[in-house]
Amino acid sequence: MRGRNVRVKATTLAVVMAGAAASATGAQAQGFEGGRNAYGMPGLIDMPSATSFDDADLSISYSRFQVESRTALSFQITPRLTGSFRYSYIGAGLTYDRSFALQYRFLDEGRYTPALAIGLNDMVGTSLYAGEYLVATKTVGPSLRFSAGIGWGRLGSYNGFTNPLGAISGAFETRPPRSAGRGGEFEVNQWFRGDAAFFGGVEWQATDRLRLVAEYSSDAYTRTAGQTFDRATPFNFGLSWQATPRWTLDARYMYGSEIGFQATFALNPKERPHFGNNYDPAPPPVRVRGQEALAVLDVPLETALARDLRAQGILLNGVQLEGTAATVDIVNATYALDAQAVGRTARVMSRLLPDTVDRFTVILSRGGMSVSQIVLNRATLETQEFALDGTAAALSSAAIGDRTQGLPAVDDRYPNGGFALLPYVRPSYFDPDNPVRADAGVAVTGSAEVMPGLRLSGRVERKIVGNLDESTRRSDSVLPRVRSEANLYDREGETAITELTAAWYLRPAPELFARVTVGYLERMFAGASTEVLWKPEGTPFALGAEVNYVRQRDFNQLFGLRDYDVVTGHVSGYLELPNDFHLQLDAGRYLAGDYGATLSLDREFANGWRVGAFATLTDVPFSDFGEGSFDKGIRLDIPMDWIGNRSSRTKNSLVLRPIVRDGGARLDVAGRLYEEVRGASDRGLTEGWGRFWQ
Amino acid sequence: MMSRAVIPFALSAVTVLLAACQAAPDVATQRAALVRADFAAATQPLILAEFTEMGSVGLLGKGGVNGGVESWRSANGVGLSLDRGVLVRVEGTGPGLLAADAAPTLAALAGGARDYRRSWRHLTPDAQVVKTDMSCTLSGPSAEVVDLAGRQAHLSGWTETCSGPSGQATNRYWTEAGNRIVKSDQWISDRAGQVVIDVPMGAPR
Repeated sequence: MRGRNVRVKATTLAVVMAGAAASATGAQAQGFEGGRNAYGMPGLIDMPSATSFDDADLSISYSRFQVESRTALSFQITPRLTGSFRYSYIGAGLTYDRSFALQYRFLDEGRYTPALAIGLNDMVGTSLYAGEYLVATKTVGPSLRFSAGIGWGRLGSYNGFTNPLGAISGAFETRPPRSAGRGGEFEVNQWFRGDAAFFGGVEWQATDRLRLVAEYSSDAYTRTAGQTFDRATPFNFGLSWQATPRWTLDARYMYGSEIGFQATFALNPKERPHFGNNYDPAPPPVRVRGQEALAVLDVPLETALARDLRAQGILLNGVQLEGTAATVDIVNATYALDAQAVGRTARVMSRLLPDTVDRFTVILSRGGMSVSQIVLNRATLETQEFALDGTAAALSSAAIGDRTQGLPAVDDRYPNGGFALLPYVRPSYFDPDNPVRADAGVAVTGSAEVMPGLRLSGRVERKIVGNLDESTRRSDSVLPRVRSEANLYDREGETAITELTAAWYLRPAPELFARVTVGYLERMFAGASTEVLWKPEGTPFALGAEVNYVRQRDFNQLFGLRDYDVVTGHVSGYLELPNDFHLQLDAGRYLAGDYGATLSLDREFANGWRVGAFATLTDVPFSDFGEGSFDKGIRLDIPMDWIGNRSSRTKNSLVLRPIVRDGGARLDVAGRLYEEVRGASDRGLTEGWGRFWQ
Repeated sequence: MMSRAVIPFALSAVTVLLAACQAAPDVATQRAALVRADFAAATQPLILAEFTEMGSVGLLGKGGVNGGVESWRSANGVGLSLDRGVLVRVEGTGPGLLAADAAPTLAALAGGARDYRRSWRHLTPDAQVVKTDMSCTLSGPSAEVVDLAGRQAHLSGWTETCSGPSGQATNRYWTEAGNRIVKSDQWISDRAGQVVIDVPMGAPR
């Protein structure tokens, strides 16, 4: 079942991308889904294979055998590159461990040739799992797949032999010991060194849903075999059952002595879950001129526009009629993609504006400042509404440009605000004493727009249940403790003001945006934050600068402040790369007063999903930083409307750091300019234009 | 030591799941109730639409006319647009239809070539427009007695069979004299399934 569905989708997508990167998709042999091993990576049971998941596949898997458990978050970064972040418990009181893995499939399977992949496991962690491999996978017939490989490090630990790479250099024959004990450093001089060993296995796709797997493992489990379990044989056997398109369950007999199991939940940001259909009510159709009967105005135009736009979830800032041109200034309060708001606004305009108007201009405002304008030809809207390629036609006839000045506000627009009462969950990960803790409670949020560009925001959280206060670990940081005392904030801030700010947004010049935010900026810091952003039209890059003066807040997160203060700020470069990738480089001074830079690489999807990784290096020596050596992590942005049944601009951001220390820590101020404005910029609008007629 | 993020969506997600688990209403019962209406008493043009796979049925009123395309809206936000009876857009239903070319079908119904190509546009969850091309064959007419919004009607039945690299689609049209489509069973997308559309007899047009 699953296989068939996926093939249909793959074909459909192939039509879309006809000609574009067809070779890069690197389609795998038909009939097989990429299996997942106990590390959440493409593989057999404990061993890897030269397969990949569907592009952008994002999964979380939990595997366990005997006392060892692994929870892995894996992502198909590109059609060939798979990455995984893993949190493991390695039994009998040995340790919790966090590690990263990467695999690159550099050769597609051919008719007679196997797919080939190279992989690095645990290349920056404490290296308990450190291993490298080269693996080949070949499908034979409709339901058999064989994999064989050579491994080094941990994958060369059973039945190993002298490293054949020794033929290149004798240095390959010895694997040097790890040089650092804190983890977090790339131990490049270990890679592909020392003894090597062969591994391999076979998979039989017995039915659409059931796969049987047998493998020969080259992992000797040197640290744990004989202590936590008996590694009686190198052979593992498993059943993998595709319970639903998203859930896979595995049962295994491991190393001749242990039963193992695994559960995997996989999704794809490019595909909506079945419960995540977007049931936005259909927009009003275009009124073609000549149908005056449909354009009966029972109230003044301004009132009617505000009313009909509000029905679409769009706020009217201002309206202006000049001869044959009409301009509206709006706030998209509802749609994840601004193009959808623009399309609906244009249709509402067509229904209400006199037939003499032939040009519609829509100004998109954000945070009270105008960002861009879209000029639409009314005749094009009329002729292209149902044209087969009306989406592209509407885009090519639209003039999208920068707009620094909004329209005078309509009556009753300011002041404007509201409150909301929301449940919240605040999780904490990877505390060595308890890998997952969480608090849950209610949050009251309020915001008020006092005048164009000036917004007051506040948020108060009240914990109801949770165990974050159980963390009693004391920070051992030798740096100013800007983040490592988070547990004190959790414990003492059961009722906390997590934000209380005034933010002013303005457009000092074309292509320039500015922000000043003052107040209680985040849970741990209060002060003033200033930012400017230069975002040139039509280019994939932007440049920003931020300077903040902040003081650390009291642990109870009420109004008091502590003694520590710092001037922190960054110069930031943003670059949109091809194939949905986005690069950001921030260089400057961090909260602990350290100087350095953060590099972030994300894969972004037009629907708002983002999956990425970041790393920060500063002048804090690894030894002063403490465990992990430097700050790094992965982040996910999940758009709410992807799982909901109505459009929403809300996103949930999840940042996973193996460990949070004080070096390389940035201020967490809301409403940074780049993310605020990019969706409404020319490139953002073009990217999301598919929803113009939605 | 720890990393955290506030995730208020967990509770919302539960709500969504619960909503999705509610028992589907009995479409046949709903349809029966709808077709009992006296359409002659209707004050505005109406169509009856039944989403076969999605399991819903309702009445839609005319919301706009653009050339040959009539747009219909239900009270709960479902939108259908028909180009002289051929489905060209479906909105407000979750997975929908962005655009379709009606001209080849209309030409065939009017006596033109019975073999032709049709094209559809759908939107992916990632806001990309997907093009679907198929080769189609129209067969008919056959004299049929069909249920038209609760009344028996003598109509001409046509079958449009389409197939392409990404799948296939079957549409049925029933026309009255003058080849006007008054009932149809049309493909929206693989995911959304089919929609059966009736133009009730007696309702204003």
